Amino acid sequence: MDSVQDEELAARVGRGDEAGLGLLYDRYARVVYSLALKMVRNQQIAEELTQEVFVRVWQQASTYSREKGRFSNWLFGIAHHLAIDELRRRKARPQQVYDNPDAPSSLLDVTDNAPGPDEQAFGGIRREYIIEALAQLPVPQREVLEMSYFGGLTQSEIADQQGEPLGTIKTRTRLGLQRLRTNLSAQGVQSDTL
Amino acid sequence: MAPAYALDALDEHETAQFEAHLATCPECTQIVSEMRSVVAALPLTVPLVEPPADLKQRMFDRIHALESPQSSPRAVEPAVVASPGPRQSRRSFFSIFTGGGFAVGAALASLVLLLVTGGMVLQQRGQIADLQGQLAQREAVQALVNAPDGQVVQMQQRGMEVKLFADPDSERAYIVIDGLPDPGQGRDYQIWLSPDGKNLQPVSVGVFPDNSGRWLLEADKPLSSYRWIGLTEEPEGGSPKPTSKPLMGGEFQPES
Repeated sequence: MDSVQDEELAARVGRGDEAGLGLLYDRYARVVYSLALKMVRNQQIAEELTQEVFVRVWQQASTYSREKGRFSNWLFGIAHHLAIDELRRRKARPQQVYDNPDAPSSLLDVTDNAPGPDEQAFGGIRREYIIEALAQLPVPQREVLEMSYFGGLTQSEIADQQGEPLGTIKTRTRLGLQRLRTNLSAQGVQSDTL
Repeated sequence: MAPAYALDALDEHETAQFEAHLATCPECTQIVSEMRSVVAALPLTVPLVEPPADLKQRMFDRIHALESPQSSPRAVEPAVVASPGPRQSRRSFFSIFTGGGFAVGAALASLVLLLVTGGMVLQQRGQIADLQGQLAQREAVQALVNAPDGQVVQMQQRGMEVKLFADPDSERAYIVIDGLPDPGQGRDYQIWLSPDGKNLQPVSVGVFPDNSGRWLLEADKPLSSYRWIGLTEEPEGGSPKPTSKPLMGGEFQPES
């Protein structure tokens, strides 16, 4: 695995270095694609989103700086925003349905803990620790986090779907994130290193 | 609202409200920052699936289609594909925003609906008409809608949508933009037209600060004089020439 830091590669991409973009793609396309697929549950759209994420990196790398946080978080933020846009556009146009019945409904339905090259991109943090930290959340809190982050649902929509007061959903969201932070720490993962 | 904001789980209205609050509340800004560092763990939990082997090359192909080696800075020169207009026109003028993930199509009905909310006049050095209020602006937009050769072009890319309504014989165009990335503090978006699609010397037709909105553009010459339109991110207030790669762009196609 190339040891060049992400931030250095991003700077190279900002100067128009295609090879740098290729290295970033090799590092992160698997996670970006998997995140997109998890959210939109459609292979073709996940492929389009993945392409779009890296086109955005190509176009906007010069605007990235270390002050915006880790490059990987900036990249995943782009991917998440694009997938959220797709999900919300889909809600606005209910005739577009791409649900894949074979897709896992929960991130805990499928576990892939095999060490892979992606782990190095996460600063050596093992995915299984993070998955375990999430799995240890109380189910209602984990569900709210998943519905928000992966399902693209607003707090009000989650309240409607679960038949719970909005205040309850807000509380579960806050507690879920706080607990996840604690769990990550217990797994030896400091959230500020992500 | 900070937890939901960190998860992107607020609707547009709530997001705008909370961001206005964040601008004046360092404590909440700190809380959001801390929560985002936790949220950053979530992408790492998804079951990993290999993307198709050819996806990398497709991504590069798309970037190459967006690039124009003649321009400085790099600008967009996608392939030209005929676009159906909203009505039978004596010529097919607009055929833009092609290549990559752009989808071109007529959207007159959508535009008429959008007119209900009117818009705002784009401020730009001496090139934007002073329409003296929203009524005049609506009248101008209505004139574009009713123009015999008026055409609508819609482009969509993941997360971004632009509709352009224009009469090729008019200097004015109505543009509806939605879902661009946040330009960030101290950055604006800028729209450019070029009379020559190959040797780009684009002129600015407007600077706008938001990632969504409706604007009435006014060029120096009828739009049929131009071959290329593009949109870049620039320092606040705009630039004399583009200083970044276009986020979107494409060629107008004159009648062949």
